[in-house]
Amino acid sequence: MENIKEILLKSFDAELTPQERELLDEALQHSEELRKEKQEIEQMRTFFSGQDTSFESGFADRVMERLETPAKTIEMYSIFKRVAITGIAAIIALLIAIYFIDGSLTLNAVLGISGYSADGADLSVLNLQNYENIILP
Amino acid sequence: MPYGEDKALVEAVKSGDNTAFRQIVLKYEKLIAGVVKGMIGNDGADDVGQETFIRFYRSVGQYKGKAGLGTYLVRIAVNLTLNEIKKRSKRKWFPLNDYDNGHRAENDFERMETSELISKAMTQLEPDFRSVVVLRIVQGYSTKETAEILQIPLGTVLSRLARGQEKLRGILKKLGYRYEEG
Repeated sequence: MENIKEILLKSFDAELTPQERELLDEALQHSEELRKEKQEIEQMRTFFSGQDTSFESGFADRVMERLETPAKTIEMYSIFKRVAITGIAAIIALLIAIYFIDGSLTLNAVLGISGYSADGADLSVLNLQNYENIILP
Repeated sequence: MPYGEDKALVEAVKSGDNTAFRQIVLKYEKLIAGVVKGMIGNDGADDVGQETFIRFYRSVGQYKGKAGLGTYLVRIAVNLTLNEIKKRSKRKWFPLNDYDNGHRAENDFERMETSELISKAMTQLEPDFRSVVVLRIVQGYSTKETAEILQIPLGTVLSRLARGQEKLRGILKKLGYRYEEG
């Protein structure tokens, strides 16, 4: 029975061999169950076939719009890339210059305060002569 | 379909003519809608449909014309839809596969429209069966064309069709469809 069911299903989508055709015809003649099954499959296929489906109106417009959106994003990205590359190049040039001037790339050198230290601070720059009465600890 | 017309449109798209691309969209949107909606219903079908055409546009250089333009677009649509089904099946809160929820569907035939019912029945089929059933039964492609579109052997198409139909027949009964007796 399983084999005849397979042949029945196959008959809808492929050409049967003469033997298969004969077997199926004979089985259909004698089995009401198989005839019912064939009928149900036919009805089911009709139910599913020929459906008129479409997208909501304006589909082509939406596709065209979407087509242009990523183009803008790509453009923004390329501008960003150019700015970023220029910025990185400027930073590298600056670091090289600092290295040649100061001989190191410490934080103080980068910040431009490598020549200064808290101990050797020249307090005169603060113009302290005007505050002689102030007692410093 | 005059193949020459499609060929000319594709060549125009290749040379950057967006009007030609728009013509292709207008010409094939119904076909793609049938395939995508047949496989996943209305939810998200528009997005998948749009992506189908965008993918084609971006890779138009790869289209050599071995398959008809419609077939080529359907192939893209089926692959994108299968990806979408996979993505959605990972999201538990947005199930696309109602296979385990058949019991909730009793008597849906009385309150749902045909297109809704078809979509409900289809989403209860496993994705591999769904693509074959949609192409062969809903869209009416031959088994050979279905095999070409899905790039699977003809024997696989036939066996998936057989099993898919058996399952669908049961699903329809569960949904309340009454087969007429002859």
